[in-house]
Parts: sequence; structure tokens; C-alpha cells
Amino acid sequence: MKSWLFAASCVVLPALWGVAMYFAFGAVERRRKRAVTKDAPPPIDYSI
Amino acid sequence: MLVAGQEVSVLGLLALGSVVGLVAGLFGIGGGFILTPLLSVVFDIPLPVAIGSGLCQMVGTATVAFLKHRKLGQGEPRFDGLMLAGTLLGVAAGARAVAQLERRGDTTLVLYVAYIVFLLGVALTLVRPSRGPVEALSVVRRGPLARIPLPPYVDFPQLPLRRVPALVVAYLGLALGFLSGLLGVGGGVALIPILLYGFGFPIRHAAGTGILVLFATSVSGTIAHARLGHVHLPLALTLLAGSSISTQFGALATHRLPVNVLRRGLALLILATVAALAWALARRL
Repeated sequence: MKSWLFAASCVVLPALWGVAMYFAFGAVERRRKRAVTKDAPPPIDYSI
Repeated sequence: MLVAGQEVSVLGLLALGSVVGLVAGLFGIGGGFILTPLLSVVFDIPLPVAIGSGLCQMVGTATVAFLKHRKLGQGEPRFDGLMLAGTLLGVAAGARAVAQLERRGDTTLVLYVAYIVFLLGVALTLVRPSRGPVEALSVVRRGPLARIPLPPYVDFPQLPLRRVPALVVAYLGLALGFLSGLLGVGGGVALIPILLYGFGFPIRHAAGTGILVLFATSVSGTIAHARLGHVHLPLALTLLAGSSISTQFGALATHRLPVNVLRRGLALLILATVAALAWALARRL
């Protein structure tokens, strides 16, 4: 029983860390992409 | 930190984790093939503990890879499904083989030689010429493993690749699973060349295929080694903390470097690990 609990914690703890990293770096990436779009020069208007 | 009676520097482990994470991000691989040997060679951690803890930290990196690839929808899920049963059996057998070697006292000799042979094989596939320009890599070229006449056959519609022998895929899973359980490697570094050159997968699908298997391998390998007393959880979490941040820097740098430089860089890194293993083996014999 104790060995199974230890084995489960060896899987759950790194997996939780992985999920946290996925969302943390996902948010950083989204913010970086948004900043690139915001700072980009306005599109050229060819209508005139 | 005390690991298997050995005093190990936490800063040193964080640095090793960072190096492995950087390599993993740069080359798009797990990095287990350099982490486990270096834990043994540099920190003198017993190999069974290095293997078990390496697989445990891989659960974290495999979770991130699995979530990312699930979003991108790349790969061929049928291939993963066929490999899975064989992989799980192979991982359990590999972990038992490590326990057997530990009981007989042959761990260092047998596993160091196995690492050297495995890493040299990977380095050889890396130094062979590339399949061609990036555009050609999106084309399916039926490889020798896909042509083996061994029924039953299975189709992979997403590639598309038809009439592939199902048993070959299942036995490939078994072999890679055994390798993971025995050496503590995720198997991606061996699987991707096999998918590209053995089956003829396009590179985009080769990178996505096997992520589910990698995740299953790391989870089942961790459970098998934890029950044998081979996992040191604080060690695994320290390595994971070091690697998870540097992986992002590696992934950013990979777009700025040419493919050939990346391939040669990885081959050199593998050869350096082989040299370190050979030196440590010679010293211990």
C-alpha cells in the first residue's frame, strides 16, 4: 500500500508541475504574441 | 541533498537540469539519454536511482509535450495505440532487468556498455545525410519496415500510409519500452529516426507520433522503478525545476539555427556523453 502511494506521488507531483508549466509558459507566449501584434506598423491602405 | 547515501549539490542538480532542458528545447527531444548517464558519471548516483529518477522527471516534461501536441493535432494516434501495449510490457521488463542486474552487481558494466552502444547508434543516424529539403519532408516515402510482408496490416489515414504490418509496430513498442525501462530514456531519440527512415513518416507527423507513448512510458517506468525503490522524488523534482525553464530558451533558439548545425551539435553532444561514459567505465574497471 505504502509503495503504491509513493509510486502515485512520483507520477502526480511531476505531472502537476508539467501542467503548471504548460499554462504558465502558454500565458507568457500569448502575451508575447499580443505585444508583437500591438507594436506592428498599421497595414497599408491600398484603397486610394 | 542526500541521494542513496551520496551527498549531492542541489545547485549542481539545477545546473544539470538546466543543461538537459536547454538541449531538450533546442533539439525537440526529452534529453533522458544524457541526463541519466551524467547523473551517474558526474554525481556518482547509483544507476538504478538515476534511471528511476530520470523517468520520474520525464513525467513532467512529457506532460507538457503531450498537452502541446494534443492542441496541435499532429501525429498518427493509431500508431501510438498499436505501440502502447508492447511499450507498457517492455518498460516493466526493462525495470525488472535493472533490478536483476543490481542483485548480481553487474549494473555499471552492463548498463554503461548498453548506453555506449545505444548512443553510438543514435549518433550514426544523425551524421548520415538529411532526407532533403524541408518541402520533401512532408512527403510519405514508404520505408523498409513498412514493406515487411507480415499480416495483419493496418492503414494510417492521417499520413497517409497504407498496409503497414501491425506486429512490426507492436514489437517496436516492446523494444522501445524495454530500452526505456532499462536505460531511463524516453525513447523519442530512437523512435523519430525509425519513423522517418524505417516507416517513411513525414517529419511533421513523426514529431507528433509517439508523444502519447512517451507519456505512457514515463508514467509506467516511474511506477515500476518507484516500487523497486529506484526513484528519489526530491532529486527528480529538482532536475525538473531546472529543466522546465531552460527548455523554453532552447525552443526559442532552435528557430534561429540551421537544421544541419542542430544535427551536428546533437551528434557532438552524444559523442561527448559516450566519451564521458567510456572514461568513467575505464576508471571503475
